[in-house]
Amino acid sequence: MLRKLTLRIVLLVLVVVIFAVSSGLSFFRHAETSKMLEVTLKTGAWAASELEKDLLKLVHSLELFQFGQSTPEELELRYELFWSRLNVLKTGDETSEIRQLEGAAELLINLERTLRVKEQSISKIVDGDSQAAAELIQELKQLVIPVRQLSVSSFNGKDRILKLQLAKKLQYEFGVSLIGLLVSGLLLVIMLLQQSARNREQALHDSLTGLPNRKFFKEQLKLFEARCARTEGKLAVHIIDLNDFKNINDTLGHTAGDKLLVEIANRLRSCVRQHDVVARIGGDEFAVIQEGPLEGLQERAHDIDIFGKLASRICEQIAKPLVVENNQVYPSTSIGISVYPNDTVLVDQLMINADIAMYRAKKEKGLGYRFFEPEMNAVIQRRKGLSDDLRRALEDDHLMLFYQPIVDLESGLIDGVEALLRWQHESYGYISPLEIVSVAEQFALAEELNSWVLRRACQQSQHWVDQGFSRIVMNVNISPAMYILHDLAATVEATLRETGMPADLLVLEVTEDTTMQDIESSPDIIKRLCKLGVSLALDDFGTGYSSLSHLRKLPFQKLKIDKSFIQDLNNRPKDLRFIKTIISLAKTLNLQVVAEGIELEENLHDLLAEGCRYGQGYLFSRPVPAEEIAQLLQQQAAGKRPYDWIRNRTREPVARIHK
Amino acid sequence: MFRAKTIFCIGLLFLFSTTQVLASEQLSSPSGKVILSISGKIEQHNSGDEVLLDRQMLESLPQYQFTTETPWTEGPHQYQGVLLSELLRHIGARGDTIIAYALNDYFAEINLKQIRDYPIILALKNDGKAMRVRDKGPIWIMYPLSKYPELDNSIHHASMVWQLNRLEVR
Repeated sequence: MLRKLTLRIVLLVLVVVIFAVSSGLSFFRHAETSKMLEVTLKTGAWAASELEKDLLKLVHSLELFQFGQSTPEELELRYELFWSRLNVLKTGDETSEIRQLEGAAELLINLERTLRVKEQSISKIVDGDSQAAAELIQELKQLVIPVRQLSVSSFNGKDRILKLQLAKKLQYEFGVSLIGLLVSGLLLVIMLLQQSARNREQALHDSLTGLPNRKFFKEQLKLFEARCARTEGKLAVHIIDLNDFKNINDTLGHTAGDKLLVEIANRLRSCVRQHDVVARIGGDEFAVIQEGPLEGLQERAHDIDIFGKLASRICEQIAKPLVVENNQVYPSTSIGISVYPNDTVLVDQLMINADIAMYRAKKEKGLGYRFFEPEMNAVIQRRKGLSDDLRRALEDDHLMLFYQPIVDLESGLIDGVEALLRWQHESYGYISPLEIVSVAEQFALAEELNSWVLRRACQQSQHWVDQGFSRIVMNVNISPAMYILHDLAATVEATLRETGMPADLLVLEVTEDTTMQDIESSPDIIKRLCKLGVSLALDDFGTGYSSLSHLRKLPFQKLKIDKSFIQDLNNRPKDLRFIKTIISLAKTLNLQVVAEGIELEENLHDLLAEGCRYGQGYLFSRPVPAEEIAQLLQQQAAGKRPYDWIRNRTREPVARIHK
Repeated sequence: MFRAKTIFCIGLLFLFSTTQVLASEQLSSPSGKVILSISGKIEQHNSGDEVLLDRQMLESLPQYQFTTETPWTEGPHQYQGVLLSELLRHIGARGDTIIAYALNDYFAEINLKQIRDYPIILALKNDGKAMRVRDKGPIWIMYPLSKYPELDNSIHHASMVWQLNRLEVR
């Protein structure tokens, strides 16, 4: 950028120099032309004076010849030379000025006539006719005075002087107009520089708040960084993000949002010292460069004291309530701080760090500000790395599905399986499904991931059917983003068609959380899914919002009781109240109930006693590869019950109760 | 302004058929009226330390012609004569400067290096006719002004000596 700027300045200087040089040149050219005019006038005057001289020489030669002091050749030569001079004055550009003098034309005609008439008398004179010589002398002498007059007036005549004055005047005027040209050129350059400065100002500032923009902020940050590198000083970048600004914008309108931003900008300005930089680097995102005190190396604690103080002041100032368009607004903010050179010496990284710290502050909702810590970056980098690797794993089919049997607690037969995502990352090891889904949703991989899971599960289900095993239900977890952002129904329909899997074997598990509200708001998706014949199961029931309205509005067929309730059965004294309630609720609503997380045999008795028919958990099997499920299904097909022992164990306690 | 405007120039450079061996030949003496004498740094002589030339001697040298306008004449004229450079070589001139004197005692110093690349002639004829003194003859140093506009300025104009009768090589 610097090189570009230098180039532009060099170019500008070049243009100015060329302009000045060519102006100067044209001035000198003009002066030269004026001088040439003087030369012309001089050559004219020279010719006129030569005429006078040649006339006098001719007369003198004639007089000498009369006294035998000169030769006929000399006389003839003088005569010829005078004629020649007359010819010079009569013709050509050089003497045209002379001819225009008053009386000059007549004089020249007169001279020529005299010469023509006396052509003969010269030869007579040469032959010794002294009478003719005397006459010629007489006649020529009469011409001496007018020739002298012509000569003098060619030097100082009115016309000549006027012309010279005019030339001088023209030159002066040209000089003046040239100065005008130079001044206007100079003004033009100044205006150009001003305009470009104004453009730069506009390009580097935010029009709403008048604060520097991100670009300018980064430039400034580089300058500050360079200075700190020299002085071994410190600086902090604060990234300041308004909390819930989107909400304010949505509810109060953009005009109110803009007014709030302007007020926030003013408050920020009032918080920092004059030489610190405040900028608006995004919609509701501001940034501050704060230079540390120049007291040499400081302890980290000291830094936190100084930089934290500003952040805390900003938080306080921004949090003051204000009225925007008749609405009381309570703004709040989250600030991330990264300190140079403690955290990094790279300008870009400084901003990234501050951003990371800001997100952490936002999440924690504590002080309102957070200093960057290296661990934060590690988390971010892990997620970024995972997202890249997940994309590749999806492309290369490196993910796996494990299956956990869902067992009919009465018969001990496998009723279905739940497909669970497994990913063994080459450097991070086992990655939990929760993290995979969260990474996929953050990095826009949700659609690919869900499609992959769905397709793989359906293919597997079909594979078992092809192997001749009895029909079992396939439960698949679908991440919430699929309901909101993508066309889940279309994906399911396509997958079913592609794999040939019967829709009634597919159960989509929906986790109960806030996104349920979004799903509710688009009942169309659910309707389309039901139309396909796909079942819906409400997963982890009882841990989320447990809103009965969900159950009322959405056509679930199954309810999965969260494992925490099954764990309650292991407490002493045993707490059956919630299990009881949930199961009776499900029964009332005609929902199939599946208990999750069954780990102990005794849980079975309780669950069966309360009327829960299906269950899954480590007691039966961990999630296992498809081949192991195949083995179990094979046993089942051969008439064996994989969990036959259940029947013996479950009946005993029941019988005891009945005793 | 005397500069010849809209000059139509036929810069015809033309070698007469009467080719003649130039150098290394002993100069003859003039038989007619001497119209040009050359003195100064020259190797050839035919009268004392000078070279004297009559019209016939000059006309026996290769002749060149071109048409040009001048500030002292009306319209284009064809001038014919001896190439100055050839004449100087012919008489073994050894100098960079010549001073040209006229019958009326006008003189001009000519820097030969400055005009080396141009066909400057000592014109003996104007439109095929020998020039009288009153017509700036018998010899007029003529520059091809129309063909080479860069020659058309006051410095060279001053060097275009008419009624030439003496050259001094320096």
